[in-house]
Amino acid sequence: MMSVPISYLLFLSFGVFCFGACGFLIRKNALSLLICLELMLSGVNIAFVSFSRLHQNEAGNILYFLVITVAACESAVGLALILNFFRIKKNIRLEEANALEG
Amino acid sequence: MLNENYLLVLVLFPFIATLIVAFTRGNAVSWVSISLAAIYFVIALLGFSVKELHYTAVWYAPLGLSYGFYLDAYSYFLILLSAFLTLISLYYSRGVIHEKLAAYHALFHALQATVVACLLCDDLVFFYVFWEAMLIPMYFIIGIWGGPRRIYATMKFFLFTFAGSLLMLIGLIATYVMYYKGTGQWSSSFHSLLEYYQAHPLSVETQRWIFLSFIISFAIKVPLFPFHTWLPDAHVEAPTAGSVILAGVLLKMGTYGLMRFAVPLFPEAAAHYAMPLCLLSVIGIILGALVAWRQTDIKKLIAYSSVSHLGFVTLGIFMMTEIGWNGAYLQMINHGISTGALFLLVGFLYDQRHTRDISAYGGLAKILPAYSVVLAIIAFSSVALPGTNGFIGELLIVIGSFQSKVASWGWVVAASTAAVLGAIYMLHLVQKICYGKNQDPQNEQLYDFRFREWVIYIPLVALVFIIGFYPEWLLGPVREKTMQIFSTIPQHLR
Amino acid sequence: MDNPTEILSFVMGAAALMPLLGACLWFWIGKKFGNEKVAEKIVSVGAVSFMAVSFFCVLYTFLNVEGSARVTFFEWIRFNSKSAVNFAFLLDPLSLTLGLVVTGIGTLIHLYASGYMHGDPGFGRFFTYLNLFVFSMLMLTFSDSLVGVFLGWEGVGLCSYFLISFWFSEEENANAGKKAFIVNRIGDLGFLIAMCALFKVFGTLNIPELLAAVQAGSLTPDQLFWIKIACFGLVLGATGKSAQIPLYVWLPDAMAGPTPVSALIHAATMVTAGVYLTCRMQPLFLLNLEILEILAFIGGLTAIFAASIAIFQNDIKKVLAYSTISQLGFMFLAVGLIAPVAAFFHLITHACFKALLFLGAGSVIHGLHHEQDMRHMGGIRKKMPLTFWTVTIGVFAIAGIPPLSGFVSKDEILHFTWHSHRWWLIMFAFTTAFLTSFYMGRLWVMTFFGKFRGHHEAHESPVSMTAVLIVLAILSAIAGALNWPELWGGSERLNEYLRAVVSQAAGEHTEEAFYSSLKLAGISSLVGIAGLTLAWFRYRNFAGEEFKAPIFRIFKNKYYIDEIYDFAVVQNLKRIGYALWKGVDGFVIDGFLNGCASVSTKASLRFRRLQTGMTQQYALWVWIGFLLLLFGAWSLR
Repeated sequence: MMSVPISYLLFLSFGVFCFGACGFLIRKNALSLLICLELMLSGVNIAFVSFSRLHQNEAGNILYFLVITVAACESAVGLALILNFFRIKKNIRLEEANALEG
Repeated sequence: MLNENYLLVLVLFPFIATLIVAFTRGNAVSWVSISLAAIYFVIALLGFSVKELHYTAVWYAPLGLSYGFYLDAYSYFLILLSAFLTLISLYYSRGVIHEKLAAYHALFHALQATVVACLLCDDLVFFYVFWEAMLIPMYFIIGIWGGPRRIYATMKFFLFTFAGSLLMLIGLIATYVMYYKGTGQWSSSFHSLLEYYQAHPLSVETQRWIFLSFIISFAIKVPLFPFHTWLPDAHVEAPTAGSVILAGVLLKMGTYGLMRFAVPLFPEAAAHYAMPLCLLSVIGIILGALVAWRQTDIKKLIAYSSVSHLGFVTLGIFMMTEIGWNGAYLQMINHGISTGALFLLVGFLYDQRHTRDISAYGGLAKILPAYSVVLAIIAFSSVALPGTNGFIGELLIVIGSFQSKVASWGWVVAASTAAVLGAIYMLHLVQKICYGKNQDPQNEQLYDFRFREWVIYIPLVALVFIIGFYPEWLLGPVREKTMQIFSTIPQHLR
Repeated sequence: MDNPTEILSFVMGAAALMPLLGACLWFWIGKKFGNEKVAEKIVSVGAVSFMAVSFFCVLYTFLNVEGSARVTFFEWIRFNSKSAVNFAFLLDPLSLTLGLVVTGIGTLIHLYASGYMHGDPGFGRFFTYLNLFVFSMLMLTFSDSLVGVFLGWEGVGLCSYFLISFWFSEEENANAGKKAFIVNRIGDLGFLIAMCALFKVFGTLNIPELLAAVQAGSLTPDQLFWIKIACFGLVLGATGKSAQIPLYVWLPDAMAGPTPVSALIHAATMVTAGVYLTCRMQPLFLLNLEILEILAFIGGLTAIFAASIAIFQNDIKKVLAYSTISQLGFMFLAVGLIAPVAAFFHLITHACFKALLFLGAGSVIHGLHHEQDMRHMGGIRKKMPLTFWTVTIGVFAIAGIPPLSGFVSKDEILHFTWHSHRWWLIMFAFTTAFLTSFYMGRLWVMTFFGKFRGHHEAHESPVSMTAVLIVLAILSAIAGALNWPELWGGSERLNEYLRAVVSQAAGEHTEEAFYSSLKLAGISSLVGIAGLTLAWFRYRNFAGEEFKAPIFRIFKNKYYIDEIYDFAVVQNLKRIGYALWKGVDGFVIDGFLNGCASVSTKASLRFRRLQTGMTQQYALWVWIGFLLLLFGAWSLR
């Protein structure tokens, strides 16, 4: 079986993460932000799984499940928040969610 | 005889009382609360013959934390005082406080609980926890039932004391870590720390830093000049019962901390800083007295007189003589009794007239003869007239300090001028309230002492004279304890 | 109770406790019965009989104690394992003599007061204070420790405070009481310091042990220094309590109290406490002769100073008050010249004749419906014959007309002054003697002779008052016999008795001494007669005119001492108090703290701009932070 070098996998993970992070910083739409978050988590997950492979143990895989669960919860909560936000503001533009301005 | 379980009862009872009172509803609150306080007072009285009790149970062994409680003369009499004053102030509050009654009473019991735990605990971590916890009930008591500027006062009170406590936390951690470094074991038990530090004193430099962190916290609590400005504000805004406990018990925690922790643990550092601290005490004594004289608000006057009196206590402590320490301890109790009584007496007028302005009163000796007699007795006890409790304490402090090597006797003379200044402001108060002619028709409507007031004041006045004429019941155990502490302080530092 | 010590302790305990018990009872009875006649009767009979019991107890002790004795009641304050202070009485000639004076004169004055205070709403209260005073005075007299003496010392001050401001509805009376207490407290401060110093040296405050240690000798210079400090403190204490310069200012104001109080407290007993204390601690002073010198000078100066003021007073009680200050000056003069017996003798005779004069004045005031101004008296000797004759004896006694008591005791002091060869003091003493007889003559003539200038018809006082006057007049006349000089065929009994505890240079018995003493006596009685005569001619036809020259204003205004004190001390203290409050507390400390608070408020106003509420901005910060950390980790690699 051909083994992919760990560095490739980590680059992939980093790339996906950065993709998500940049998206998070520049997108205005709350829904996109949520997707970007998921992307970041996926990037992390890739790293976990690759390390799991590297070390030949299951810790990374287990953590992967954990993260996936968290991601699921988070998107559920996030969607609910967005829904409520939409109800109040009639849009989901994040610039308008600035009630915490100091 | 009483065993260690007595300590558990002593510590836990007020916590339980807090819960019971908090969940009582309706008209029963006052009576439940007062009877619980009374029971607690009786429980505290039972321990009178106890010389020393120690209780330890493991809390978290790897870090050397324990549920350690320790009872001796120093903690005992303050606990007794606290139980006594809590009982009296709760009894006083009956019929005065109407809103949120259950919370009010519960907070007082909580205060009692934290104070007692703080006095008894042998574990530094515990000490810190309760030291901080003490603030919370008082914060709410002033903040909810206080006067018009209560928010400012509570903020000031909280920030002052909290800032000090944080510094103390650093000192506590240092003490705790140094022990580990020396012995390779963790322990936060005061007794093992004390033993260790006596056998292997820290370098003077280290001692000084740790001592400073302790002293600032205690000095704010006492309060020592120049950390005293929170006191008048807090007193003025606090409800009467709150003032009584604040002056009578909470302030004593600072001086107690000095006598119990700061000085015995770091005698070298204490000796090093003794002189400036004595100076601060003397300044506080004189400043408090002079400023008290110029006050128009009766409560502020008494608050400043507290500054003056507690200056005497700290003077007695930092002059580092045995007699001075006994006097200082006695003076703590005395101050609790007389200042507590003074606040109650002001409260008596305030509840009827809703003003604390000294000029609103006058000629009350005609209208309220019984009130005036009690006020005069308490005032003269505060002035330290021989035959009252105040005298014994002040005499011991002055005589002890005079022999001290810490500072020149001239300072003692300066401090003793407070005897004159004290007479000035106290007689000023008595004269303005009781003597002269009554100018205000509203004062004609005042009622004199009824059964309720007699219940409050008879024990207080009796204590004034009992301590004044036969102080030995209190002084004896305290003297032994002081001797024990002083035997651990190197000879050249005393 | 077969043991004599037990009997003694019982008797003396009773002597001290009777007044204390009385103090508790009268207040209660006075309150309970209100202003009824029954209450008055109970209180007056009770108070007088309690006092009489107390007197007889002291008398019993006086007769039964050989030399000196100590009775201990219980331990009071324990300082350390070695030393403690007890409630204990030291029964020796000095204390027993004063004890007799206190209870004896006290009983008489209680009797008088029961007539004088008749109908006052505060009748019970008055006797409460009076009895409490006697208790404190007995503690002061008999206590065997300085702390016990201090208890009495402050206790009498307290009672004096209450009694001066007895009619407290007048702001003035309340102020006078406050002044008395505070000025006394300044003196007490000295006493306190003295106790500290003595404890430092000897480790005890029990008087017999202290004196024994002093007399044992071999004191180091350091110890002597502390003893000197102690002596200074005691002198300060004595000047406070006994109204000497510089702390005399409270006594004239103290006349605001009822007259029996002035007689008992501010003439006969309390104010002599300073003399008693200095005699009691004489061995300490003997180690510090320069302080005795100062004491003598203070005494002499006070004597002449107060006498010069007394001449210009119109209030009959004020005259007597300044006279008291002046006579106390005489006593201190004697103490300072190491003649404590003479001082004590004068103390006793002064107690008799000054109490007599005050009570006589009280009788006049009572008879004239509370008129105290001598300009509104005059010619009342016919209306009040008993008062007149008794006061006359008092006046002659204080003026030093032989052979009345005042003559003998004052002559003894003059004798000692003369032989001290200190010209200032001699001048002070003789001038004072002259001034004394002059102002007493003035008082006598203005009150009893000439035309009546008052508004109310005078009437003689009730029996309870005049009877006391008569007894005191007899005492004032014959008290000189107590210590009639041996040179003149007397026995000097007091001298003999007191010599056991205090030391005084013994007189010579040569012929030369006899003549010189006769000469001195002649001069002093001449001086006295001259003063009286001058007063007689000056005031016989007094019609209201007084010294008009502006120079006399300074005397009339008592050298402006009150004003100077007020300006220099009281006002400045007030200002300092205010400045400390507003300046130090308000401006410096709270200013600093509020400054800290406002700085942090301002800073946080800036910092809050970071909080934009934009989620993505926060994320950007997180990202930047992460990159910085990464960079940091990389560069530290």
